Amino acid sequence: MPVLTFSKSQLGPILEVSVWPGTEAANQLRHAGKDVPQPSQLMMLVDSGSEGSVIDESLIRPWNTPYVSSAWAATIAGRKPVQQYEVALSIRGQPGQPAWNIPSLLVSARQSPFTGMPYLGLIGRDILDRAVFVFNGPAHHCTLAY
Amino acid sequence: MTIGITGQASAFENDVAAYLQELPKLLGTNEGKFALIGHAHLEGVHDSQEQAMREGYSLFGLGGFLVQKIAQSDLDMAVHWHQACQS
Repeated sequence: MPVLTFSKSQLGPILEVSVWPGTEAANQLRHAGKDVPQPSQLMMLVDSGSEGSVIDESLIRPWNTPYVSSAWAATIAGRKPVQQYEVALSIRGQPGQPAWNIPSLLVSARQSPFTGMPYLGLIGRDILDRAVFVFNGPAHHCTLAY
Repeated sequence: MTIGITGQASAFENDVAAYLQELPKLLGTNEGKFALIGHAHLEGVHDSQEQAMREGYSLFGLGGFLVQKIAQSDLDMAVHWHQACQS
């Protein structure tokens, strides 16, 4: 089982991730004669309280890939449906460790949900359900085995 | 009860409203399966998410569509959304 190790920040377990259109979304872009966007780099917070993974929509909208599902998101005005997109993720740990590549995953797109935070996405239980996540508080590090 | 939104709605909101309109009927026979919705219309019900996604991309390409797992919880959420839309 490969293991990613990363430091625990003041704000919790935050990982470096690359994100780009998922396998079939990318195929659709190619089929339409459009370029497939290069991977975007972002930081994502591991959040076991989040049912699904979330990414700031400012990263996804420019791809012009279709929404493929909806999920419910909590807002000040109550719960409302938000768009979900098919994305590919590459989750990185420390240098030299093999990245965890996920070629197709549905993530919710939210409008500026993390203002003022150093991360632009959440790694939710849809990803954590496939892994063993260890939060070692006293040692100030975390591991994600997949 | 009519579930939906008033005023100018996006294609996404219309798709969600179409799914929620069909949901009470779908729950009776298809709970746990995957509904495919596009152009504010229920296109079909599939046994797996992968199947429904393939069909969605095939029918709608780069246009948006919804693949939704048919679940009672969506109906519960819809009631709250409907109330928020009306207020």
